[in-house]
Amino acid sequence: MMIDVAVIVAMLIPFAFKSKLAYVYWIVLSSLYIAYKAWRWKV
Amino acid sequence: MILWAVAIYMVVGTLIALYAKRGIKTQEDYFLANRRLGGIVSALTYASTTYSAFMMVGLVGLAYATGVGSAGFELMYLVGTVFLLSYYAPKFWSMGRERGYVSPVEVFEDRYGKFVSTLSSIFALIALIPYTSIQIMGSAYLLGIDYTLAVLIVAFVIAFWAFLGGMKSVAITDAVQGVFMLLMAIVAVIWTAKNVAFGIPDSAVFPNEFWTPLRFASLTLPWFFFALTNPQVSQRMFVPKDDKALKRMVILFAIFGLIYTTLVTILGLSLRLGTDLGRFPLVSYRDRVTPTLLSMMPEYLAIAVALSIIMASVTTANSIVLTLSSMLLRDVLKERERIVLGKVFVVVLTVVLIFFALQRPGYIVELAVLSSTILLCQLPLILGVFHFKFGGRVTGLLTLTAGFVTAVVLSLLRVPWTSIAVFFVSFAVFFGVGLIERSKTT
Repeated sequence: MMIDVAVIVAMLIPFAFKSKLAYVYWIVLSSLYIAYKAWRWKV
Repeated sequence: MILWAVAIYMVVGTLIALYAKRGIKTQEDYFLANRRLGGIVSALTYASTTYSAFMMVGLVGLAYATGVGSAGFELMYLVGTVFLLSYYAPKFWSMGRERGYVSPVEVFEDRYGKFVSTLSSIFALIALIPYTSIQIMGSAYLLGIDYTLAVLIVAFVIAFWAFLGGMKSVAITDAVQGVFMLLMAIVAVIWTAKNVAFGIPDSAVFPNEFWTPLRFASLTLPWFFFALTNPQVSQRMFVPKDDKALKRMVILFAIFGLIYTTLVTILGLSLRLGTDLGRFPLVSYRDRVTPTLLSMMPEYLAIAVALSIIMASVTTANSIVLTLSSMLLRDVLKERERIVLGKVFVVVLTVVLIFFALQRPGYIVELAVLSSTILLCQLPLILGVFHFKFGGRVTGLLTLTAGFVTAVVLSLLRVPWTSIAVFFVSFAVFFGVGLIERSKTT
């Protein structure tokens, strides 16, 4: 749960930087989160 | 030529539906494919149901007009969905099996009473019928033939496959169409990269005048909880055949969503870069960006991409029709045995959709935008089932009513933070009335 909340909060970090690189940041962060869920999530 | 493509599409889909209709005996068979779908088909039907024509039309235009914030908004939805599904999908899935739930709001019935599940179904109808009509209208415009005939063709495709084979038919046709949607998004990006531009323009920064914290929160909030509050997707938590299929559904959907979102947003951003470089006309009305792109492509390619957009509409609409039919049957009429009425409701709902689409009223767009905000009022009740012991019939009724009224009134007043208000009002009423109701009963 801590990691889930941390990722959701981290999705908001681009508000602190006026940049087009937010695009790459969001894609990388979302990819890492999905990979983490695929690896660690036990149904 | 597009009519030939649609004709082939209808024949293939109908053959699949005829295959899927075998062995349907119970409502679980019809509405949930007997809870026996594999992970890959479950993931593809989840993705195709979620991703409507909004992606290739609305989101491309949003990325073109407002920059990279559109990707943040859509990926925030995706992360939220993966988060919520990883916690709640196993709970929904096992409850569905243990208690025989078919309609998604049956989870309310045991906890808040029959009237709450009925009211929730009625609100879902009000929220989703305009939204689904928009899907038909968008597809009809894309066909480029007489509007009435186009509406009837699209509505027939939506209803016929669901009518014939229920969820199994919808799921398998969704899976095939989902793959086609993804392939055509790849093709559109490659064609744009070769013939227009590829990349992110310097003007597409985040945050900007459009993507303020308030707008981001207001747009994201209803979508963040979409997986729980929208019945056409929450019902899909019941269909995987085992826990492995359930996990596969969530992870593969997430991968599909990530790839599709990336493709669609880079398409919009690249077209904007094309405009800045003078290779793509400036489009001031953002929903016209994709049609402008289609007008520049070779005819065969434009037809294939347009067909993928029609497919995105159909896969969303037929899933909604089937889910609303199950809710009308089980939560409004309380009929839990016969299937025939469910099939009748599929037809009746489609006729209502045709009526709305033919009227083309201006307010329908506003109602469609409002759909997820209206459905947000169910969120406290859903979380209440799993996390809170207080709250019964009165809490359920007042939470739904307060949230619904807030959504409608504030949206009529064009308040930009409507979804945020619905969220807080619904939770405030749920906690306030729930605690009073508990103290009265104890």
